[in-house]
Amino acid sequence: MLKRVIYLVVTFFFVFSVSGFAKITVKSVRGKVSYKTGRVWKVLSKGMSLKEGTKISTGVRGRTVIKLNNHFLRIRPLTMIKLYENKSKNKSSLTRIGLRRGSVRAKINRKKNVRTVFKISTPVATSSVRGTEEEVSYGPNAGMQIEVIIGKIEALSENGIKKFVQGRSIYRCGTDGSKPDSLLGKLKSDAENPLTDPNLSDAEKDGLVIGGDDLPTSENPMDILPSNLGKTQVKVQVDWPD
Amino acid sequence: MKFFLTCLILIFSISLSAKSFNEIDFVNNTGDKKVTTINDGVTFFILLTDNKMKSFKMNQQKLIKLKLLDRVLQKNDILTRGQLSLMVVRFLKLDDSLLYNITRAKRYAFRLCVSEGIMKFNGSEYDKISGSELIEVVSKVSEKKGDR
Repeated sequence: MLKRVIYLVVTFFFVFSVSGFAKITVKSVRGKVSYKTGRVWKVLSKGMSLKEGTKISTGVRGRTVIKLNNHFLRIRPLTMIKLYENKSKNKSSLTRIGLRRGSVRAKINRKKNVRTVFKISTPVATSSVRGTEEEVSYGPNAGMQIEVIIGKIEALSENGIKKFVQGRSIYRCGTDGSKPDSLLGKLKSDAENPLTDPNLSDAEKDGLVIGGDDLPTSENPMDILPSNLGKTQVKVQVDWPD
Repeated sequence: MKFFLTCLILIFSISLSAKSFNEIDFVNNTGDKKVTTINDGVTFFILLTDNKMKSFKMNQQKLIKLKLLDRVLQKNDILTRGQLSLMVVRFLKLDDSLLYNITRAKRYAFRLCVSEGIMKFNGSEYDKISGSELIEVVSKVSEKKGDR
């Protein structure tokens, strides 16, 4: 009898040390959040333990925080993810998440001497986090967007283009199979202000010349300067790195 | 016998009322749709405005009352970018467009949504909108409204 118990205990420890399955727990839930392991969606609640392969979907005001190993994943409203893999051993930790739509914020707590791999994949690219905090979103129009809050990440697009993202740079990769945007692309597009909507007809543009502009902010750059200033010539050259 | 019949009717009516609207199923089913309908758009705006889900007609009346819609629409009509833009512009109270302020047309509501970064300019206001695109738009609208 004793031998049988020892055998069972040894087998149990052997199985779990080899697979290294780490616990996935739900830390908080707000609004409507569901999970699916089989075919039916069930209500997700605080304190639940989840398995690898579980899908999580949030409603219009639904949000949840999931703890995977020592990492935290904040799932925003209207998001669907799949927890593909979550393994932990003495010297390594592996977490793989699939983001089908919406956005998540990942906080990765990296320990010294532990090789940490934390990947978030979308249909267009994969982000590998190297001990940091990031916000990842995906949608059919906007594509994948990665904003690094702290640290550094590596982004790999479906067509094999690898980029390191850190600081104020934002990684954006569209769904049309094209190359990822320049890391300062958003900064550039925010800095640029079109004079007219390029998609208006000539008649509409003529109308705007008479009636005023049709820009999101009606303030003209010249309006903010005092009128009694002298004139001077300014040469500006902006280089936007790739 | 009468007692049993009453119990049976009671259980049946409870089970009918318990079959309430499931938000997650609605979101996931919509996400898989290639073309969305007016009903999908109306349902999302009812959820965004924190109103209780009722029948399509009552939901639509609620949105008309909230001035997100200006007339009665058909439940199964296709939701276009223009119609969705009009609801978005009214919901977020966007008014930074001279042409939209003059005409209140779907065309300029769509352009206003593009300039606000809510939609991408890759077509016209007459285009159909897929389920995943609709969810992306609703997500951005919710973010702009400060719900995140």
